[in-house]
Amino acid sequence: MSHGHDDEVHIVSYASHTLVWLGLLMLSGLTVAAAGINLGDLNLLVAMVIATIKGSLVVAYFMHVKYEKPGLQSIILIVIVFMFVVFCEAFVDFGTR
Amino acid sequence: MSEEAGVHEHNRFEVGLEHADYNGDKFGMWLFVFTELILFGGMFFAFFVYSKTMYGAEFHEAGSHLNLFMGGGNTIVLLTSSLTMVFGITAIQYGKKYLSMFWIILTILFALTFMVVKYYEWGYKFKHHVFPAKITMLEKSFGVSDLKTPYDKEFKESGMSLKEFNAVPVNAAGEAAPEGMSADDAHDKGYTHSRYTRGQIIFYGLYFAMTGLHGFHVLLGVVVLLWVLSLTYRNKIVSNDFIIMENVGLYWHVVDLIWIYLFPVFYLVS
Repeated sequence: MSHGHDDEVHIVSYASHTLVWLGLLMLSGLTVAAAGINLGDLNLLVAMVIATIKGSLVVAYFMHVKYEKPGLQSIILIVIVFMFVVFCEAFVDFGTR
Repeated sequence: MSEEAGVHEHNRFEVGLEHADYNGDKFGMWLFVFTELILFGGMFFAFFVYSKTMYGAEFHEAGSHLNLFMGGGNTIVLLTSSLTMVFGITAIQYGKKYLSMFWIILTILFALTFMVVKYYEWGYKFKHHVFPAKITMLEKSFGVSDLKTPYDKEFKESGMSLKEFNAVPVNAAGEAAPEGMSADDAHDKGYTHSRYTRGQIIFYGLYFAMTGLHGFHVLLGVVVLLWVLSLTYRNKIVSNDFIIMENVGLYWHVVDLIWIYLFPVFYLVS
């Protein structure tokens, strides 16, 4: 199973994938539980923070980004940060009208 | 590179670099993933702006009509399908062809389960005369749509809570059933519809558009997963050349990722 050059493949074990999956299920439960508590405007924020933690797990482990080369990692990070900034800018705008 | 590399006709890495660009293949897929984020990001953005600036209370109310049990169940189904997808990749990396195919088949079955639940969910909404799509089209195909007119003015004048207001049945002309009439009586006399306000209509518009587009991605996922299954069966995806499976995996995780945000936004806003 040699690759012969720098395309070294990192095989993620079944066990670590299963752990990530369990984490995702628990966070989903947490999302539902948190929605049951009335925090007013904070509810949506809490839900989005938990969703983002879940999303990060999916991106890092299931989408294998944790094991990619720094080049691809930084491109992905830049795109996500850029989207986040655009969202925040607009929220600041709408939130202060 | 070996001179006899040509005999490994399924191994692009050894056939020659001009035919194999593992990093390029993967980067191309990521570019597509970015466009998906922008596509759905814009719709989430519309939802947040409407929710926070104009129709907070109405979104809140409308969201409470969605079935948390079905939405939560589908969350578990999709998360698990992501797990079986990565199991499929791990299996092919270890050279276990049939095990990999087994995991891919499971992923497809989970995708179909998701769509069946979606079918019932949407069906339930249709039954209550909440429809997606253009109103004029609905009038032609179903003869009726409750979403024809926003009843904001009537709602303000009624002095009722939004829930009470929605609960009063109206006839096709939009006239409310007389007070004191029993629900069965009202139904028999043609008062079979509910009145919704503009905010609720926008909520359901976004709900159908976003879950619809997401559902379309799930269906497309089934098609590409079937393709991966056939490639694996024909030894076109093997332990040292599995980029197609990996890229389809990336696509499938994006579908999961979008649902991770869709679920709390629509089902838990209430």
